[in-house]
Amino acid sequence: MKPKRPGQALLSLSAAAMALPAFAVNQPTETEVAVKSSYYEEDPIRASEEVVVFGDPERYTIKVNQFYLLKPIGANWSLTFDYANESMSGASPWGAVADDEGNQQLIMSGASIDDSRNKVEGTVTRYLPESAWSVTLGGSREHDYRSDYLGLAWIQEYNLKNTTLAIDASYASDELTPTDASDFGRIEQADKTSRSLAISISQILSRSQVAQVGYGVTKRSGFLADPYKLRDVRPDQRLEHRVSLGYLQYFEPWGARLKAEYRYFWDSFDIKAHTTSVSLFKSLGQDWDVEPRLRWYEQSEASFFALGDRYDLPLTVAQSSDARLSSFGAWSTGFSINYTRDVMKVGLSYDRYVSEPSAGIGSPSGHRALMRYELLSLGVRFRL
Amino acid sequence: MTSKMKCTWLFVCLLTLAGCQAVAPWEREVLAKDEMSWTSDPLGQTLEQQVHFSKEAASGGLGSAGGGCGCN
Amino acid sequence: MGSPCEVWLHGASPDLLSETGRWAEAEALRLEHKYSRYRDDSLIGRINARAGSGSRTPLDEESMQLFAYADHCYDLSGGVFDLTSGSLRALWHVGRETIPSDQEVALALRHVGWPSVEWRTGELRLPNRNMAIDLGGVVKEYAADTIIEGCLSRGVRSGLVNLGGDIRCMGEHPEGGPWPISVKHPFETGALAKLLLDHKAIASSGGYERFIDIDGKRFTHIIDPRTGWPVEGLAAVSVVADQAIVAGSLATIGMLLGVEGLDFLNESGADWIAVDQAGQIHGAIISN
Repeated sequence: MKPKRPGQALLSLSAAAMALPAFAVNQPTETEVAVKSSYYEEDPIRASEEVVVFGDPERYTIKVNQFYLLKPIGANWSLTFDYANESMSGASPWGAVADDEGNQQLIMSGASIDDSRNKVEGTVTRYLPESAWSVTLGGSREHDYRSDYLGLAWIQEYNLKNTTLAIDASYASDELTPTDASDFGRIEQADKTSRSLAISISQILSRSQVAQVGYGVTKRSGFLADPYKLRDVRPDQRLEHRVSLGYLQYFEPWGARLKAEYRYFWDSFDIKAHTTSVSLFKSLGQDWDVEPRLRWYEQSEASFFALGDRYDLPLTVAQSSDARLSSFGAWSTGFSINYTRDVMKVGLSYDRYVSEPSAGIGSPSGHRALMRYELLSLGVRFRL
Repeated sequence: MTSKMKCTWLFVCLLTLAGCQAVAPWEREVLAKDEMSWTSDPLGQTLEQQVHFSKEAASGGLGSAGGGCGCN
Repeated sequence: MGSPCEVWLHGASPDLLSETGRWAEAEALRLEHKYSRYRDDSLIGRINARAGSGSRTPLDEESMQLFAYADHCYDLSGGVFDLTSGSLRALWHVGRETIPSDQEVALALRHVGWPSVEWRTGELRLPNRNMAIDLGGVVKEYAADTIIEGCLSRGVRSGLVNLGGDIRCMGEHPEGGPWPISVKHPFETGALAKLLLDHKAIASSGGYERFIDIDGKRFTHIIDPRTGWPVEGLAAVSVVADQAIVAGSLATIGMLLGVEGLDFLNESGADWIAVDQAGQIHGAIISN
């Protein structure tokens, strides 16, 4: 019997050794620190037939700065800390009016907002030989919105760690305090809670393939409408479901990896959505890699979606002209380039998102304020 | 798709996955690569989810957690 | 472990260092007691005592993984890395005056053969009464890794472990910089190679320390389990790798393959150095 694959002896034995208890704790062995700065800009509303009653068609621009730290503690614990700061300025439609032919005309408010949001989140994870559990606490603050949340997660491995079961539960308690509430007849204060449960199974199919399937459910209760819209009334409960599939495959001769994901979403607002995304990762030499990606999204409109605000309906009947509840499709293309040297990895990424108003599920809503945006990010990561 | 059809479909997926041969610990060098994990860029993923959450009705899915922003 | 062992740690508070040092010593002893073939009450002792009796010995997670690792080495090495080959030592024992006959060798080989050992179910059974498992070499290297990994996760980040010549280091030498290691030459006095180890391990396999002379011919104590005869070819092999267990396995396999071992080591992807029976040096360990 001749030795097989001697050329990979070192790699093969090293990977084998990793299964031994001395090395096999799932706990990450390195401290990781990452920062990222991003710039997001929406295209202005295309001017032609839209009648802009007040104000500026300029949409949002957002700058985001993020910080991330992952620190292994002792032999069985790790701590993660996440901070994000967003500063946004711009406007979104205040309301809409539908004319006799059913064409929508948008009402933009005169003022554009300048707001910032801070988010802090911490996670503690405990690693056991075949499982791990974690607790997450976080909070997000804007001058008109506060969110506090708690998350619990459990991961269990089976089949020599070929199968991983993950269960996540989270609870968020939010409070809205819209600005200039009395001036505009908005509610002064409202609460909202969200409860989520998700389960997923990840399965190694071969030495270079992994698949994942998951199901999640979320229940939101409380004030679910947009308080800044002229006329927006929504049910006080929303039940959401999602089923996801994921697939990863590595192609050794090309140093390339394919990732494909699909999600089907449905909820009690009668919205259904398909999301499909594909990305291809490719190594270029020792230090560089690129990752082009493509995403297609389509959704149907909410049962209470109204193209033009329905002042004829009483306030007890749900209605919204919010673009997010209309039927539309959206293409997103993007790519990332990364450079790795020693402990440092620098990455630049760009994404372009374009809505297609007529490409949603069901008949097109015809909303005029569907967005197009660009997102540019620069990030650095250190593994020490 | 009816509720029942959805459940059956999910179950079939799980069965298919369960029938695979285990990959031994020493055959894991490819699987250990960064690009073979579901979340190789946590900050990027959080950002992307945040942006999509504010633009689209659907949310959540593989690898996401709680935590809201003010985008009702 | 049958040879001198030392653990050097520095770069942390005295309390942490002495606590970690005590843990390291306890861990080395634990592994030795568990896997020693010289003790009746060790796991290996019990396994070997039950050989051929039909009874199974339950294996814990750590032992399972060590056997799985050894199984992988068996495959990778084309069958020369065989935990059951220790019984061939009895054939080629010190003090033997005649060369074994073909029949004697054939008989001894009946008690060798890792594939016939049942272990995958989590319980180990040796089917043949004269079979015996010897994990000695693997455990020594594994102990070096366990100690270093344990120190790192306790916050001690600089040190060196030397268990009978299998060395693994981390962090900096007390005087700064990587750890200077010298590899002994099998025949001459002085060093075969001097290198600086930076967060790596070096393990050596050598037949030069023990051998028997029969009819004027010198035989090493390393027996090829495929043929039943001592290996000819290399006098000493040293391999550098990130983990001591990997370095050790590669060195052992290189040694066991004899002259073929040079090709194996060359293609393995690791840094290595070897000396053959004629004293010629092959390979080169690059100082990093």
